[in-house]
Amino acid sequence: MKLVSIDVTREYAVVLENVYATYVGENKPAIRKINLKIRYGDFVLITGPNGAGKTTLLETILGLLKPTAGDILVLGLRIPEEARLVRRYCSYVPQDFMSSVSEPFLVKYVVAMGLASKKGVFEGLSASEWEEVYKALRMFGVEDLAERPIGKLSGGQQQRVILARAFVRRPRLLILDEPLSYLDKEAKVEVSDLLSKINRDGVTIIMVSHDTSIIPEECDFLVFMEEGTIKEVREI
Amino acid sequence: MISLILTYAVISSIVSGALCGTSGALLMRLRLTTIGFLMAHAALAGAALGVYLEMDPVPLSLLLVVITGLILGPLSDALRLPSDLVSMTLFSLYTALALIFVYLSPGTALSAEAVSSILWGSVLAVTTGLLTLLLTLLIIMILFLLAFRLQLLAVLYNQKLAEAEGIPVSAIMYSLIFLGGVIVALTLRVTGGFLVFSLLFNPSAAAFQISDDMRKVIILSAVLGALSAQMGLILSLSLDLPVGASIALMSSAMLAVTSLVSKMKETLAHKSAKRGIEM
Repeated sequence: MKLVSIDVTREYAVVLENVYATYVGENKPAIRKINLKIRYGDFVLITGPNGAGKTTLLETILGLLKPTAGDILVLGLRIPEEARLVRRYCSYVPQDFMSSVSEPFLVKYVVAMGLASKKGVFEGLSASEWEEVYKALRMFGVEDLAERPIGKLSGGQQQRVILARAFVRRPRLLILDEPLSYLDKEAKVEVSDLLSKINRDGVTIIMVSHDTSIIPEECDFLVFMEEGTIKEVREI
Repeated sequence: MISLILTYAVISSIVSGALCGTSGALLMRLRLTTIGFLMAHAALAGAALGVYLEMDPVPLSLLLVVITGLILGPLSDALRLPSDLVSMTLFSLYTALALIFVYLSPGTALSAEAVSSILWGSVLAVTTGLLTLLLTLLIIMILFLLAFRLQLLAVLYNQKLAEAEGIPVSAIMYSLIFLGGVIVALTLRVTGGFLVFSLLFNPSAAAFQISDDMRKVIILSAVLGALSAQMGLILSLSLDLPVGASIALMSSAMLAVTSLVSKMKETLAHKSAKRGIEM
């Protein structure tokens, strides 16, 4: 018997009810007793110390880590059963995105790859989609780096490229794991304002950050995690 | 007749080089080189079994490659061991089987030639059937690369990110492993089982030195693979050397030259950047 009713899904982009998740080979769950409801259009900031389960929670929402117990609905679809479909409407910025110097991928293609899951067999990018790619690069201030290999950019520049890739997908749900970590203070404010703008355009955002010194203007809730559980949900 | 044999040799070496180069670049980028080695040894064991049973080695090579591709994932899951470790175990098993089958082969002149052809390569013994299979495989590889070019690029860049964006990463990875295995099984006749890695990984290593763009790396790997196979064939025919060894020599020389040129370019760029700062 599933706990989540269909009516709930019209209002909420993400619903987690009593969710547990354990990594393969581990005995102790990395997250436990997670109950969280996020409305469409909300901007949620998840924070907490290292090992609190923040990244695990994001991976569970996307179905990258299968829950061992509990019910998850994302954009009205069940996780993990319909995870692949859900992921096509989401964008994810992982924590470990850094490319090494020798990686042979040009910036413009890294962003264009964001549209790969929406393409059929033998289908390439149209001229208008390339325009979207360049628009995303421009928005995150890395248009002039389009022809350069990503591995030769600084951490902050690479982070902007990955954010541009997330944006070009026009997601309904944007999931960000420490998206400001490699940026200097000025760039953190700039990117955080951009995220607020994206949220104002109707995109639901879940962002993990251990640093709460800069909270995006549009942020609605602060979720504090510790030892794999949600300790507090505070409205901002 | 001699010109037909030579034509077959030239075409098969070019096609094998291009296929191995492409597959090597993809496997190297996905850090699946161990699995590449495993597939090559599965093909070798299959070919050795063919010699022992006095049958055509190619179908048995293909069979063992397919079986290996199918059991690797489930075996790794069942044993709860990483696929790299399971690959190394199977790799030694296949090497042992290949040596045992070769040792047990009937000791006629014909089998000695057959053994030699699977171990060291014998491009002059390429049949019309094998050439047709190689050309078909080349077409399949090109179509695969074109059909899933953006998805493939995303998987090659970052598998976790590709998975999170809804790309069927496992299906693409298994297809590449399977294609790699079939390529190795079919090119054994050209390079031989012990030296097929030189054609798989030397051209792609050279291509990675030359280009910063993965799409160009794939094309360059194919071109350099075809070129080293061709140059190896010429060396083999001119000096009467084993073809597999000649290809390995030429592909190694190509890797050495590209590494040297790449290092020189890097030093020059560094120097000119330094001069720019000083000015």
